[in-house]
Amino acid sequence: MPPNTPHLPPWETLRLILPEITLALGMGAVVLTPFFGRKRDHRSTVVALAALFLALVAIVNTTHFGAATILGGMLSVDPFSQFFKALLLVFTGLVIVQWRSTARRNPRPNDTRMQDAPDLLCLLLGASLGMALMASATNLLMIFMATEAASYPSYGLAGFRKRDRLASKGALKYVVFGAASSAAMVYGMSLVYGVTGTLSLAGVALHIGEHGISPLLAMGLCGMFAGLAFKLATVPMHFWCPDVFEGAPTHVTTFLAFASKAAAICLLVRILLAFSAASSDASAADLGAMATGFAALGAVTATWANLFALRQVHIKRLLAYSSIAHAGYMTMTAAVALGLPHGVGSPNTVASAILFYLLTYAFMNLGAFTVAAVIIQRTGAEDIRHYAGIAQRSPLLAGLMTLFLLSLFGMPGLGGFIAKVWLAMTLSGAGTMGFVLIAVLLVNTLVSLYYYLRPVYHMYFTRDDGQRPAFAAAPASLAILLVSALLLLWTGLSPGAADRMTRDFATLAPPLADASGTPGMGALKDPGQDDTNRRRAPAAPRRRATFR
Amino acid sequence: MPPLILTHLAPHALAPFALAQLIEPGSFTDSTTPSLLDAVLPSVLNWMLFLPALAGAICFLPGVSRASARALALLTTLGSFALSLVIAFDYYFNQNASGVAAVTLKPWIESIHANYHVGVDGLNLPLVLLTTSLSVLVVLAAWRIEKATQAFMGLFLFLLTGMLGVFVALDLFLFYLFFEVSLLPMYFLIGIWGGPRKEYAAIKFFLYTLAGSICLLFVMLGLYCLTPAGTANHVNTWQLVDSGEQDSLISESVRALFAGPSTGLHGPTPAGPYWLHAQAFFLLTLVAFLIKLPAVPFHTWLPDAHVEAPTPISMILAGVLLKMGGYGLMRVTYPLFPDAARHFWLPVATLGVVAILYGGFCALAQTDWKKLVAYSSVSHMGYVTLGLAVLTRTGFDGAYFQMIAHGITSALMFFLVGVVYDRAHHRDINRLGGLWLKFPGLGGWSLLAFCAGMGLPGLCGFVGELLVIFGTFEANGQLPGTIPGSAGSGGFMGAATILGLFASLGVVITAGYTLWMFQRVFMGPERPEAAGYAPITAREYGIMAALGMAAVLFGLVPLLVFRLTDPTFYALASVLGLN
Repeated sequence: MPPNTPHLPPWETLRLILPEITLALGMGAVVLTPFFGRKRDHRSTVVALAALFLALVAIVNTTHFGAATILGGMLSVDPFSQFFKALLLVFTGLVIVQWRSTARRNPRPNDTRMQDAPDLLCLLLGASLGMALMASATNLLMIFMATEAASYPSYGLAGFRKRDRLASKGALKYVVFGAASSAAMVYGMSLVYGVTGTLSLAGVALHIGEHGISPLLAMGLCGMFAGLAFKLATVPMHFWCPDVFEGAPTHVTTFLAFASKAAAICLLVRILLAFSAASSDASAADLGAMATGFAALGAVTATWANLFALRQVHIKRLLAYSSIAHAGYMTMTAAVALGLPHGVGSPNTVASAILFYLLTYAFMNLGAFTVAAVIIQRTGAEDIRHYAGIAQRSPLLAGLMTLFLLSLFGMPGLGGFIAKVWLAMTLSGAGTMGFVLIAVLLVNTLVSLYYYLRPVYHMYFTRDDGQRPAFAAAPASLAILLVSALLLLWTGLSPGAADRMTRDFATLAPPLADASGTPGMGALKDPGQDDTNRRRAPAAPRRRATFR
Repeated sequence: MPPLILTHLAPHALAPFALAQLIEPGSFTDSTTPSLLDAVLPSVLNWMLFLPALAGAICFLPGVSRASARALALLTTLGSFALSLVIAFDYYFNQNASGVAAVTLKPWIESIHANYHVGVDGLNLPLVLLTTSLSVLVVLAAWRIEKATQAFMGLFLFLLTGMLGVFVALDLFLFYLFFEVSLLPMYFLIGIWGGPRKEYAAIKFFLYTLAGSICLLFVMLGLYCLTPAGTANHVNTWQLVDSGEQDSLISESVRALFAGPSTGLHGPTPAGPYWLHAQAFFLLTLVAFLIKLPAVPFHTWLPDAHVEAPTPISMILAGVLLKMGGYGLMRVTYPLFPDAARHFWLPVATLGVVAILYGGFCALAQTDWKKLVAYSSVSHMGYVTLGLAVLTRTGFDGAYFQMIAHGITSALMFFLVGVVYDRAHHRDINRLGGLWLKFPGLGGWSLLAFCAGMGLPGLCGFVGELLVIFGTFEANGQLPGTIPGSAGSGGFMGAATILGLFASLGVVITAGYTLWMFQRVFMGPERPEAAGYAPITAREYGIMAALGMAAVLFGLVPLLVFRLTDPTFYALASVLGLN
């Protein structure tokens, strides 16, 4: 076979990326729906949901596969990434349902109109596609492309309220920050390539393992991680977040608050685990410094966000800062993957703690934003000081909002608490430094209680001036809310099953399996080579010291 | 030597109250054969625990009327009380050594070895009875609440489950869950039904207590992670009672890790591997529970919460919620870190004495009647801190009894304040007066209540304070680090003696603010505005009578409590090496 002839990978490989393919086809189909008759919003919604569902089915079909690194080391398909993708798809589907049920009769004239449905759904599916790829990417080039694929639709989504000044401000800020961080990322990657001579993540990890981190490489890595930090919204790169969240329509905010950060944290965990797998005596000190850096980044992010959240009165800005804080907690934990101080901490523990956190965070976030969306739809109140009297007007919604906010805070009995305990247990594997981080986590939790209770305070304690009518959520929104609430109660009161599940899925493809020195830009590997990797991997040693 | 005389008097002082010995425990049934009752006791306990939550959820259903919410709450609390009585009677007459009764032990979160483990022993049973009985009275006291009655009753019933859960949980993780979950209904109860500054008081209460909980959580994580994985210690970290050994309260092997250096019979033994951690953990859990108790530097949430809370909530707050702090110290802090407790006895005991005196002086200065009672709570809880800190059996007995007694008297005092407030619509002591002439009955019960709080012999407040002070004198010379210059272990004026003397001074201050307050509120000529006060209802007299008679009963027969606690405290004493 001539080396440059492009050929389709075999079905065994395609099967593993079928979810992504389905999403891509779904994007096209959604855009095409307006050409087939009227009722474009209905049809496109059905098509989008169908695409998500089919992609989900495709994922379920791959979960028994074990872990594999495919397409010449571009992507790793493993339980860890598949769990995230399944969660992401379910979440995106629920966001669409939330949009359908709260966008109608919305008093805000500039909000997402129904006839814009195809555009919106296409962008949502596109962003999901990029995020799904982010969770799997194992090659610097792929990482860059996946991040961009996730970002570009997000810029569009952020500015979706076209005539709204706030939305334009947010979107512009998002684009400018995004462009800068993309530039930093691609420049950093070029430096990394220059130093290590490879674009494969495994190759970079092995290089670091052998030679440590030279100043030039450190610069490159910093640039690369700056791009990730932008998606994660960690501290110096977080300024876009509140403005985008405030300006974007609520369903877009819901989507971005979870999906963009979750994809970035999955990617971060994958990168750090690869580095840690290749660590040796030569690089231990450098990796330790890197771990400390990430731990400090997470700690500073969480603290900063919690302090700034204290003064927010806009519900979406408040939840934006809350999401930054949660990203900070997760970044702290991801640092343990590098082994704080040296070699302590087991990869699976980190991955399972992150997965559990994402599972609960997805639903408490969805719940809180959905209540906010319903309240905006019915009363127009975005300022939490206008929440007065909502407890009387809609006791169920007020109660559910309280539940979601308390779960975000980490009230025992709700999923958010167990998720935080899991993070803390993971951190404790890192010795003294870990305990410092636990203390940071707990103190931040205490601070966060104040602002999570502010909406509650206004809903319940502030008197309403007049007798305004009662209102309730539309059935679809209510269904989302009840499902989220039950899931949080279930994971909070009886976390056993969810915990076992996230543990089972916390297996990553062996990060160094594809360290064959392929530059990563070459042709696709031949199928035979793929097969060697597709067996269930004897993943990183299953030391679960901190859990079992 | 007065202290020694007092020490030797201690057993005799209580001898006349030994009426309960007339009914010998174990005289009714043969305790070795398991009865049918033993088989159903665990479910009795679980029903007692979750019945209120179930009824609370029903209260929130749409279509429940005010009247039915009240009736449901009353029936539920009565039911819970009845169930707790069943458990208590069985425990009283069938108790075996220090065993734990009515145990349910089921795996809960397997990956961290947390169990659903509930049961009663001498340490929690009296507090459970206090909670269930007081809750009946609280529902009655809340009978006339018209604002969102259903939600009030529902939240109160949730709170009841939370409080009972804290007491009966024998697994640290479960304990923590209930400890925090019980905060939430309280936050709403103060924040919605409270006074003018209710929002401030509610959030302050929540944040303060939560700061304590966070300390506790940190220690829990630390404990779990420091015990080597895969060993029995690791598996047993959360266990608050050792089901294997009957006389131990916390897994012996866990405790050994955190042991301090000691000079035993066979020469000095080195400290355990985590002795430094143990000291830090002791201080953190101490702070966690001292906030709840509350002890002096952490007490400022209490007057705010009390002043703003509605009367029934003040009753339950003072009567039960503060006891969670003392209970937590006895259940978690002291049994887990006995050596650290010995190491830090002097600062802790000093905190106790400071609370007694400072709380008393603050109470003297108050013109708001409810705030006065709130500060008196701070002062009375100081005896609990002191009694525990000096690590004597007498002190522990005293501290525990003080919690029960204060649960009765403070609830009664807050109720009396509420009764007057409902009529006068203010609580300014200087603008009240002559109430005795208007309401002689109220005056009588108030006299009883405040005398009980003051510690008049024959009433319940006396026993606890007396035992704590005796215990403090007993501790003289038994504990490390007595003040330099004193004559060592046999010294007459050791640190403990001095602390005991100051604590005795507290009794005088208590008498001072109580009597002065009583004089200003009840004595003197009748005020003109009192003519319009509504008469006191039979419901209100009923509540006063129930609490007042309990104050007399426990004052005369303290052994009713000690019978239940003795075996467990015997075990506790051996664990802690109490003198």
